[in-house]
Amino acid sequence: MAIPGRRHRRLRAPAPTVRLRLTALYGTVFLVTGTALLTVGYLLVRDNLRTHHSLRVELERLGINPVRGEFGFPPGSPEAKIIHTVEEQILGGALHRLLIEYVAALVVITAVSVIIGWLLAGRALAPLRKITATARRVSGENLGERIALRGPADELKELADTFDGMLGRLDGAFASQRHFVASASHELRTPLAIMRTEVDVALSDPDASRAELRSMAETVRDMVDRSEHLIASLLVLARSEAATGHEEPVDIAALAGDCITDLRARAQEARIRIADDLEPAWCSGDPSLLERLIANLLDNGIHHNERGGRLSVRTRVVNGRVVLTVANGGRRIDPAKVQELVEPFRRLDRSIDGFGLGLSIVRSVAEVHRGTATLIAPEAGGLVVRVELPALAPSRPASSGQVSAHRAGRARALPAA
Amino acid sequence: MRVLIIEDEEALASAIARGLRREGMAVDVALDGAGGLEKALINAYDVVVLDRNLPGLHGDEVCRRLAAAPSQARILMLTAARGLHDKVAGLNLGADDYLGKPFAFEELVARLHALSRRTGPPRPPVLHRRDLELDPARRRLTRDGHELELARKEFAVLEALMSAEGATVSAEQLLERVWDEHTDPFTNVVRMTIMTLRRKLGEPPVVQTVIGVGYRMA
Repeated sequence: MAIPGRRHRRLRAPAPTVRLRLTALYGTVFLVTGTALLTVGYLLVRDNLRTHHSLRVELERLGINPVRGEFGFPPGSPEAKIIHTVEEQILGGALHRLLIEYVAALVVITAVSVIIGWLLAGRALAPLRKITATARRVSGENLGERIALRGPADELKELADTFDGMLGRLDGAFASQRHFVASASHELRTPLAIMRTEVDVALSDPDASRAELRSMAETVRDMVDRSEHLIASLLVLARSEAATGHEEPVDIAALAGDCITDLRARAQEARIRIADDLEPAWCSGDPSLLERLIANLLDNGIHHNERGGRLSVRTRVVNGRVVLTVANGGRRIDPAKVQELVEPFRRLDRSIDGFGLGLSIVRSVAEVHRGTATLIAPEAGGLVVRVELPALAPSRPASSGQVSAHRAGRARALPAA
Repeated sequence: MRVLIIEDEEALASAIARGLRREGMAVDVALDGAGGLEKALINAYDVVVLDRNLPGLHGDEVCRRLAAAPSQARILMLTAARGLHDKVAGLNLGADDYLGKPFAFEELVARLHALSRRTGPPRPPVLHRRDLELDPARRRLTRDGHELELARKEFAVLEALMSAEGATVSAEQLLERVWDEHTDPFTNVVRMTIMTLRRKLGEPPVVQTVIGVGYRMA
C-alpha cells in the first residue's frame, strides 16, 4: 500500500539528475587535470629554479664560483653555509608563494568550470526536457501534440523525431479506434431507436388501426434483421482478428468457384457478367474465414457494380504466393480514398445500404493468414481487390472433397456485410 | 408547435414525425444536413430535432450554423453518441438539449414542449386566460373547470393565441406555427379552424377577430 507521506518524502529527496551528474563529472575531470597540470608546472618550475636560476648558478655565470675554486669559499665554511641558506630561503619562499597561488587559481577556475558545466549540461539536456514535457502532456485524449525539435540532426533530434513518428502512429490507431466505437454504437443503436419509437408511437395511440400496427411490426422485423446482420458481421470481424490457430489446406479456386455458384442468381438479377479464370491455388487457413473473404469480395463486386457491369475473379500462384484478384465495374473511386475502404464502417456512399464492414473483414482475414489485401481504383471506374496469401507446396494432393465437406457441414449463416 | 426533424434514417424520421403529428405538432422532415439547414433558415420552427451523424453536411456543422443564425428555433440533438464528452461537445456547439438514441418517445415529446416554452418570452407549463386553462404537455383544456375536447389543430391554434397573452397573432403566423410546409399558403384552413374553435369554446366568446390583422384572446 502506498503511504502518501512516504511517497512525498521520496519525491523530495534530491534526485541525482543527469544534469547534476554531468556537472560533477565536468568538475571532477577539470579538477584532476588541473591538479595534474599545476603539479607538473610546480615541479618544472622548482627544477628550473634549482638547476638554472639558483644564486650559485647566477654567480657562476658571472665567473664566480661561490663555493669552490680560488675565489670561493671552501665548502663547509660559514660563508658557504650562509650562501646556501639564503639560496634555500629565496627558493623556498618563491615556491611556497607559487604553490598558494596555484591552489587558489585552481579553486577559482574549478568553481567557474562547475558553473559553466552546469549551464552547458542544462543547455545540452533542454531538448530532453522538451521531449519529457510533451510525453507527459500527451494522453489518449490528446495525441495531436508533437515535439517538432529544431536543431542539428544529432542523437536527441533523432530521438525526438522517432517519438513524433510513434505519436503519429498512435494518433492514427486511436482515431480509427474512436471511429470504430462511434460507428458501431451508431449502427447498433439506430435500429433500436427506430424500434423503440415505432413501438412507443403505436402504444400511445389507443385507436391504432390494424394497418398501422402491421406496418409497425414490419418495421420492427426489418430492424431486428438489420441488427442481427450487423452483429454477425461484427462477430466475424472479431473472430478474424483473433487468430484461431485452426488451419487446414484450402483451395482458394474451389472456394471461389462455390461462392460464384451461390451468387450467380443474384448476379443475373443485376445483369452482371461473371468472368472466372480459376487455377488451383492451395493455401493453409481457416476455410470458413477464407470463404467469408471471397464471399465478401464477390458480394461487394455485385452490390457496388453498375447494372450490366462485369465481375472478374482470378486465382493464380505467383512466386509462392496465392493471388486472388476480384475486379468489378462501377463508379469511379477517388484513388486517394480507396485505402480508407478497408477501415471498418467506411462507406463512400451512405445511401447504399451496408455497414462498411465487408472489406475490413477481407483485410483482417488476409492479415491473420499472413497475407495482404490491396485495393486499386482503376481510372475507368470500379474496384480491383488483390489478395495475396502464402501458398502451400505444389505437391499438395488436390482433395477438394475436403473443402466441400466443410462447406456442407458449416452453417451458411455468415452474412456479407 | 412547429418542429423540423433532420435525420438521415428515413424509418426513424418518419416514425418520429408520425408520433409528433399525433401530438398535434406541425412536423417537417429533412433527410440530410444541407437540406435541413436550408429549411431551418427559411421557416420559423420552434424546435429543430437534429441527428448528429449526418451524411454530407455533418450535424455538428448544421448545429453551429443554426446557433449562429438569427433564428428562434431551439436545437435538440438526437444521437447515438451518449457519452459524457459527446453531450458536452454537443451542448457547447450551441444545442439547447441532447437526447441519446434509443430514447423513450414520451421523453422526446416532453423535452420538445419544454424547449418550445423557451422560444420567445418564458411561458409557464400551463397557460391561463380568464376561465380557460390549457396544458400543452397533457393536451388538456378546461373552461370554468369543465374539460373541453378539441381537435389537434384547434388545440395548437388556441395554444398559440394564449401564449401571445392578448397580443394579435396574424393568420400567416398561425399557419406557420401550426401547419407544416405542405400546407397551401392561400388556404382558408386557419379561418375554418378558428370557426370550429369558437364554437367548441362556447359563450362568452374569447377569440376576437382584429379585422385585416389577425386574431387575439379577449
